Amino acid sequence: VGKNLSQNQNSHAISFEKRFASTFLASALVVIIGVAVLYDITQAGQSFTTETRRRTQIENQPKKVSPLWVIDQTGKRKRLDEFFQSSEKLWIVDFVYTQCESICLALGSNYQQLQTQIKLRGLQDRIGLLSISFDPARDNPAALSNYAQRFKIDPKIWQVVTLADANKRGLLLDEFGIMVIPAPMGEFEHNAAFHMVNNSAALIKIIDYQSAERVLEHALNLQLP
Amino acid sequence: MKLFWLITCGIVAIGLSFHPARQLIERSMFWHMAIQMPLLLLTGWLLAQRYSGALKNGVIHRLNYEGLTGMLTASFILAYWMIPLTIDQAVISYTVDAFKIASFIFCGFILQNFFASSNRTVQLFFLGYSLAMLGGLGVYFITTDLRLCNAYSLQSQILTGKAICIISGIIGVVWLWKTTSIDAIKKSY
Repeated sequence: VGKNLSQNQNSHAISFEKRFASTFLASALVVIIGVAVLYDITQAGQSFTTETRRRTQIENQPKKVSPLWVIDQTGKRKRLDEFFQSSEKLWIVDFVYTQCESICLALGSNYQQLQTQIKLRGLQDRIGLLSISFDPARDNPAALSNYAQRFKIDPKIWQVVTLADANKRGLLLDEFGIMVIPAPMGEFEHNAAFHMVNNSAALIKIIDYQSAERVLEHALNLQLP
Repeated sequence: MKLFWLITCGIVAIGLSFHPARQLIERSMFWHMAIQMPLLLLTGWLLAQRYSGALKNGVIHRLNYEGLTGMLTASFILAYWMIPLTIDQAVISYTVDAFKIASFIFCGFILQNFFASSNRTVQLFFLGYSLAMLGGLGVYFITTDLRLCNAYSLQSQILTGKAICIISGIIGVVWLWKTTSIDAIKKSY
């Protein structure tokens, strides 16, 4: 046993410097890999949340809107991508469900202010507003029509639509990066923002809801050729 | 008895990723971050208590003087899972979730080895910054109006923040208790 022990101590003493050097190298490798992984997942420290990540991605690489069928408050069917391409307008898109009592109300009144501003500044031909319902089960054309009345929607500026095929809901939400989670009392909680879609039906920018003036400023900047 | 706890802990921790228990971590950030993740770490820790002989000799031992390499690896794993978007990904994708389970168990394994083989100064350094980071994250969760994970409500984020603060406090107190106990002090002289 004594012999064994001294051998052990011996090998320990000899390997100390080697251990130190190899530990240094291994640690350096761990730091390099670790920093690289964190750098990559946060897109160079720009995005720490799913929300900022999807915004950065869209800005770097605009995303074409799929040919999804929607219905407006009058019951008319339209294909979403063709709808965006059918005018020279830049569309500001938001996602709602008409039963909503929380964040969509804020979004709704925000849209009302936008509508007023667009009218005042005569931007009807340049900027449009589109609210898409992600609750096709409850939001039929009648419900949309109620919503339109409640927010005094001017159809020349602001359109409300719901999905024609409720099964396409997942596709629509994925496409725009919306995550909807059920909340108590039949409500939903979801990430809310303004999505800018141009007349090539490409989603080009996503911004937080903010004052109407600033949203219009963003939209007009995007419209410059 | 240790084997019993290891198995129980492992089954509960990993089981939370499978249906029907998965609903808990899909709906509540608290179950995900304040229950599943610590249990996964604990599973790795208990596993190491039984089988850490694997790290005591050979190459790993040479590369891990004073547990430094292990400490850095564990820090990066923990930092990775403190980024809100990785939490969302683990909820959405089973692949990421499997990676989460493996990395947390691995991290717990490394940490047990680190605490068993390093001196108090290095441990204090590690705990000093990682508990401060954890506590800071908890306070941020409680105070911010931003919903950091698209998968979870603000309410469950606040609850998680409180739990994270408590957990970081408990870890700190347990470490102090262990390192300042008579046995530990006797051992170090």
